[in-house]
Amino acid sequence: MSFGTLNAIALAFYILASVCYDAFVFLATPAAPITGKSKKADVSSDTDSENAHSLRWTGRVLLLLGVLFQFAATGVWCVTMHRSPFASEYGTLSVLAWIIAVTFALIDLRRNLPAVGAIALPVACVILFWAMLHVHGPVADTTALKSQIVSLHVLAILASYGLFALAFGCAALYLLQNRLLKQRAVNSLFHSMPPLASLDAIAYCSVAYALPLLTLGLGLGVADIFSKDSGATPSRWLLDAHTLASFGTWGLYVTYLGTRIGLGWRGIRPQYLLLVGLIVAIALYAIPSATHSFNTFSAVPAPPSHT
Amino acid sequence: MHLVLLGLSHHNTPIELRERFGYNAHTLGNALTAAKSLPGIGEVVILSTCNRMEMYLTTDVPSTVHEVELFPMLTAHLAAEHNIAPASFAPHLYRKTDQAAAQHLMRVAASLDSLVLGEAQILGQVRGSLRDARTHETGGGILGKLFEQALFTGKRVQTETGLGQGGFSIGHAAVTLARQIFDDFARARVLILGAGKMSEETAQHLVRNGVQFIVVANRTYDRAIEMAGRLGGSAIHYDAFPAELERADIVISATAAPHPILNRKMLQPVLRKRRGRPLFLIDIALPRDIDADVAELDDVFLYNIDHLQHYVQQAATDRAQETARAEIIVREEADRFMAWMQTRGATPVIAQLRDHLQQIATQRLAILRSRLRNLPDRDWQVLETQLRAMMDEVALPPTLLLKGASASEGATPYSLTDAVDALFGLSAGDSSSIAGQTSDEFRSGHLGKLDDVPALKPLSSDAACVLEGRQTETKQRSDREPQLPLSTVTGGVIPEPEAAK
Repeated sequence: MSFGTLNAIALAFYILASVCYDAFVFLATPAAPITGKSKKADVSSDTDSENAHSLRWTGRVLLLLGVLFQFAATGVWCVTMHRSPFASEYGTLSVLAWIIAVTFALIDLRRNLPAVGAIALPVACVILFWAMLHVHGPVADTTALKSQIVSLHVLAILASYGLFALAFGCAALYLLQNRLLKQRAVNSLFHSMPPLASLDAIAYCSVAYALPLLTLGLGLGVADIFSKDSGATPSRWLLDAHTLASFGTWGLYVTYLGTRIGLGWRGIRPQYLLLVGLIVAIALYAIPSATHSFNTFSAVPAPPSHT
Repeated sequence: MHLVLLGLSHHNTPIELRERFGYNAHTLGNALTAAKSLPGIGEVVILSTCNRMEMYLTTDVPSTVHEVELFPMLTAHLAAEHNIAPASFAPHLYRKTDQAAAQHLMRVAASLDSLVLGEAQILGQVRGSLRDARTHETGGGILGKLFEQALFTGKRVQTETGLGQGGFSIGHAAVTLARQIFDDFARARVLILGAGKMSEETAQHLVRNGVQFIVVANRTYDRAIEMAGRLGGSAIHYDAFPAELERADIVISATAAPHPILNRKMLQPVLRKRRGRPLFLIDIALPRDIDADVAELDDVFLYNIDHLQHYVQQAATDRAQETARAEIIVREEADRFMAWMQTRGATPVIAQLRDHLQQIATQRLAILRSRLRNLPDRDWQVLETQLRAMMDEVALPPTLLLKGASASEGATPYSLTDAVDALFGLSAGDSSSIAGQTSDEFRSGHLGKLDDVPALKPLSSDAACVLEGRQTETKQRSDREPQLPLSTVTGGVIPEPEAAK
């Protein structure tokens, strides 16, 4: 099976999983509090609630299938092209989508937060779709990309961005839930949202894992610059807008973690910082870069559509 | 006599206005007495809760002038009592009379009109309002019956419908809301301001759902200790609660303070120290304990009694079937009360009539006992039963007529109660004196011997026919009782038709 077909199947699974998670968020009824003397929850087993829970499990299965098919698609592409997935925009974005999907799947299994999936999975779908549009784009052919340091550098940074995207989703949900609570807007959306404390904790954990990864990625990048034998000066890499913006992003997340751990900040202000952080990270793609462009290294013809 | 209700409730009156009409233990007595002293007012009961202020009255003011005289007078009285312009609250004031007023109270007691559908606290509040009225001697008769019937209705709804089972209460709503903020109740710290029933019930809900740290602050420290003991928490002095705010996650405020105890200025320094940790404030007091502008502060979520309405509406849609069943019970009980109220005008006359007839029967039996000493006890029992049954049959048509006439007010151009009173001589003197006089006359022989009774009261031919029929009926009954000779039953008491002729 070609990687194109595998990717299409993976995308279809992601879309269906997104629909399930979104439907669950709107259909699920809140668990009733314990009202009697016994320590048993007064949970009504109405049909709507049962349907909602079967939707959720269907979503989980579809998500796992999507993750498997996308992994297979990326593997097939690497084998076919004899390149790291980071040698093309398609591969890079595809891995990013995959990281987001895997991270959410782990969080959902551990923390039981379908509302986060209702945001994270559509984001993964969009990224994968965007990647598939660039499947025939240029593939970089340079010795630099064959280096394990560079591959690790890109992988670490992508993983951190996947986690930042998750933190962004949690922060967005936090602000939405905060708004609903302030406005006393009691509706099905309100009840389907995770507690503020859970959203805050997941966002914090995501950044706590992502920041070391970003630091590692940036560190490996800097190490690679200084280890290059080429005539290119390190300052050309370091003063590149892309690199500078990456350090700016890193600074924002360091500020977040610093205020959170050092000053004990909670509440809505840190959430705004998380929103700004990912917006800056995404803006990196819009900044023209002389050093981080696939076109710069393009030498390999675009892969055939059905290889 | 009419039943009248004037009220303001959470349905149509904003909390800012409602809290101005609240009564406390000190002001309620004067309010009851003042309302009772108004012209045309009989009884008064005031139901004052955090969701409503309702004044139930009985009045003899005709219903035709309620709108032009009674209601304006009561509105002006309320305005003067609470020092508020009538125009500011009159549009919110609902006015009901008789059946509508009774049904409204039944709905209130059944918690169908409550902010929190199915909650049980309202029964205690209804009971308390009646107790207060009885203490101040402003309510008892009609309103006493009405409130007791309402309490009975509330209990019926609780036991016969699922409205109160796993139902929504303020505590339930608090838990549901808190779950949207905190993920682990075991780590949440709850501060309770005011050791009242409402705050305790709310806290109990939180405890049942996993809250472990509870701190109670109350002006009376001993009550705080008692409540903390029941909840498994700790008590602090009331003055220490601002410091506790820094650590609390959930604050339940239900004090009886007349002014807010927590405002923006007081909370801002606390919030700086909390560094954005969410603070959930539940204000279930009336007047409110927490200033409304506190809700504008970041990371503060303020919910007062009115805000819980959203949850009630949501729960109400889920419980439409139970609500419908409760409404049927309410209508049944309201109809029952109105039937009682409508017939109560004739009740004293009916009671007098029955007493009068029973006394005649008793005295006639006493005379017979002195004459028929050899009659076996068993025969006496039959004789007594027959005599009392006869009196009941005599009393039955006028009783039914009186009740019917009383229920259909103004249906007859004359008063049947007066007519019965005059015909039987009920209020002319003690009924026993008439019967007594007759028996004395018998004893003295002035009216002749017992055997001569038919001659003293000659019967018309129609009456004789009726009596003949009765006699036959009596004979038939006696035939079914073979041990008793017929002559014993009829002899000397009910004359033979021939003798009458």
